[in-house]
Amino acid sequence: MKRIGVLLLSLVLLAFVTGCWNRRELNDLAIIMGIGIDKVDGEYMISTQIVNPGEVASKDGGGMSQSAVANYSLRASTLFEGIRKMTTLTPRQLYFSHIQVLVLGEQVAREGVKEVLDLLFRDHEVRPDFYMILAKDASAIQILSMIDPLEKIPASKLYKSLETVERIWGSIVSVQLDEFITQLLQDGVEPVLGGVGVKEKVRMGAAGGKPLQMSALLKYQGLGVFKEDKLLGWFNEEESIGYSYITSRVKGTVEEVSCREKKKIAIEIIRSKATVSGIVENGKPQIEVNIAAEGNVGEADCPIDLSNPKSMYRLEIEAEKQIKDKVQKAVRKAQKFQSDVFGFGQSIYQGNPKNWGKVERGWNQTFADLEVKTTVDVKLRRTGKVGKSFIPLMKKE
Amino acid sequence: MENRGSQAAPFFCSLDENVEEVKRELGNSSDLVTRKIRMKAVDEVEVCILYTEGLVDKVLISSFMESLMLHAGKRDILSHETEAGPLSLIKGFLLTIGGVEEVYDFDALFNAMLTGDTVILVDGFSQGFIVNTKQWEDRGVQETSVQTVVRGSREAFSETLRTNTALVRRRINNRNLWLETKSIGKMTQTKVAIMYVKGVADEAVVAEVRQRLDRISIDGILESGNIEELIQDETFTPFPTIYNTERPDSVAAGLLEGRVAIIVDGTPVVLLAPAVFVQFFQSPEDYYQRADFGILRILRLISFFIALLAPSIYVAITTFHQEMLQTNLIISIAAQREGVPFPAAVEALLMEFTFEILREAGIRMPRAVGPAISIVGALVLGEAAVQAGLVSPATVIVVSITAITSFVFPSFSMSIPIRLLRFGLIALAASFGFIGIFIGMIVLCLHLCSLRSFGVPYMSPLAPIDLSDQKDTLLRFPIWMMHTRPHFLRQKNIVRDQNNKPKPDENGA
Repeated sequence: MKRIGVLLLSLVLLAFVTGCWNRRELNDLAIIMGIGIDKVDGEYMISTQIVNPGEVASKDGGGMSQSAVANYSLRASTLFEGIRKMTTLTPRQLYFSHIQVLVLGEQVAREGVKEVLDLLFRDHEVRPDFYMILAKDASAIQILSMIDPLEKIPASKLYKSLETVERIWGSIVSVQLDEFITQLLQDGVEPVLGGVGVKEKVRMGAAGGKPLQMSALLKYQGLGVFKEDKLLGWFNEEESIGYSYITSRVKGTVEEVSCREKKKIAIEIIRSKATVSGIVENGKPQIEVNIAAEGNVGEADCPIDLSNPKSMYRLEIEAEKQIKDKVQKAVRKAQKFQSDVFGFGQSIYQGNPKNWGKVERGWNQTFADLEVKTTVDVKLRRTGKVGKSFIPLMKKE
Repeated sequence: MENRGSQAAPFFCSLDENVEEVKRELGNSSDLVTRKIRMKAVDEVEVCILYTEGLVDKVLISSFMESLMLHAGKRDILSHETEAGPLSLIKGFLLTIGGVEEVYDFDALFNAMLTGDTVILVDGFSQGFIVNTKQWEDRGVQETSVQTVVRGSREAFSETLRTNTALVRRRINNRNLWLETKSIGKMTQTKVAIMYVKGVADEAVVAEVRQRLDRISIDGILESGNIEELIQDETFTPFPTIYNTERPDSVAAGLLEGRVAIIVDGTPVVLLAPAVFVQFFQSPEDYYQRADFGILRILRLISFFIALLAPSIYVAITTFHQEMLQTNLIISIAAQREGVPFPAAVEALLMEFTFEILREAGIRMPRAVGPAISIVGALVLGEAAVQAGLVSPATVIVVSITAITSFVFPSFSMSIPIRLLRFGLIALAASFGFIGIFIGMIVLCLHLCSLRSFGVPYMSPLAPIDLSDQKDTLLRFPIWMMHTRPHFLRQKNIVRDQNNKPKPDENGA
């Protein structure tokens, strides 16, 4: 009994001699919300955006005495060195688990990003579920420094905005680190990343007769096309949406179709699914993209009777044309870059792995000359609360 | 008479000697009443009535004294009975009362007198009578104060054994409800009753209860807790392995399921054995309200885990696993912790400790100072500590929710182990994070599974699992579906009812 007591006591004491060795109090951590990486003179320019919790969560409101975040940057030849060296600047130990976005400067992206990603993929503290974003015509540090009037933390603004755009407009796809690396490693598919640029001024209203302030804003501007880990060029907005259609990533967008007298009808796409099938015939690969989309009539500016099935049918055909056009533009642009971002090679492989073996060599060239058959099928479901627009009724009176 | 053969001293023949002996033995205690009367009924016998003041029913005594004394001068009434001796005359004709026993020695005399019976000694005989005149000041049957319910009986047990057994008997009118009484405690001679339903309770368990009670050798039993500690299966466990209740309906329900009740004189808390873990999360009200009310048991189980784990999970997350929380939440907690001087673990321990102190003070302090203390306590726990920047608001929230959830259980005895284990888990969380908590929980789980209550595994019917008993474990199925008594109590008589689902008659109703 006594011996067991001694054993138990020493076990209990053992628990305390560890001294809580990897204990880190929350208020000793510098929580990083975003990382930006640029390249300057062959060295990395690493920027970290650290949140100032007291400012973000302060209930006092009103006096924005201090910024909610602080950006620290320095130059180093490797990422790891830079991050460790950064403690010379920051008051607290950096904490990487809550990174929301990784912003890559356009320069780095053009030169290749694989070296940058290794640390972030290797380190145990970093969760590979943050979004990767390209800085378009800007450096990453610039992007991270833009403060939005509604969102105190720029990294959060980038994160939320990215998700919203993807969900309801579709010109951007969100790519997380692990997805990006999967696409790098897979045959017959190249990655894309959403780009964000500094754009346009916004008017910030102020109460009490103060003059309107002008502030620069960030704007998502389409996708950057990669080949391997290097950025080649950009899709514009239409092509980006086309890309989303082909890769079934459209969760919602709007298609405008023309009506009479240059008036437009806007169709809300609520669901879209693409089936891509790749076959090889006589050594020549062929790709067929079938897109099935569903939509509602969102806005009708012209006198059209939506209760008539014929007019709905006509609208469907118009919408199909629109989508097909976007898709073809995207394919043509990608072919120009010789980068198979749509994963057509993958589709051939999935259709028949042996066929992929036949066309694997020189795929980039093959892709550029590829014949892509596109069929689109749009079904319109609902017309909103009203059938006929009230506009023609007004004209009658 | 002589060959009663015990070491107890028999009575003397002389009344005076007997009375003197009683007085001497009791040290002339002032609550001893001796009253001599001379009965002329039979040969002018002198009779002495002895009782302890305060433990007897005075009305009853005066009524039979009246009977004795009225006949003192009326020899004629009894004249045709002259053949009989005075003793049989007294017993047969003059004691107008139900419970009368004969007594031959001083030990039995003291035992009777000190429990409130009256002793009648007759001059010239080494024999006397014990008259059952027990009655003392009693709180009476009052409302439940600990295990309250919204729907259901409001009667609670009281301090008197007889009252308590009567309360149970009133609920179960059955000749199979058996009652055994023992005196335990060398000094106190406390009456302890075992109650069970013959034919429903497992004979082996009854025998085991009897045997364990017989094994007790102790000075005094002042509360059923003393008994509980002396007969429980496992001593070194924070968990109660015997159920206790102040509600007669709980006891009746337990008896009907096949449990054994142990009622101790002098306390309103009655023990029920065997007990299982889930029993402590079951309220009598679960059975009185409609069946869907039984879902609340899950709420209680969740509360169990919150009360046990909330502070340690908070400590583990804020000091080791900051990546586990959503970003906005972690920023908000980090903001609250800005400027707090203590590590999260110390902060949590400090607040838990403060709360336990307040709780203890709340129970012990005189009623009159109650409000003052609670105001100070609320200020210490809440506003002031946060305002002063000593603790973060998040910690206060965690500690408060812990405190509230620990009062959810219908049985208070389950909140005691939680209070203890909580501190251990905080320490584990502070040194190892979630790994520590999980190791703690695994140890706890193993320990719970190793416990037994009178041979019944403590975690049954969950482990070992019994599907049919699940009807009344985490949920309470409608009564018409619960056909059998709990299997884990191992009764032979298992069928409880054979109701079918209630529905309207064929011809509509």
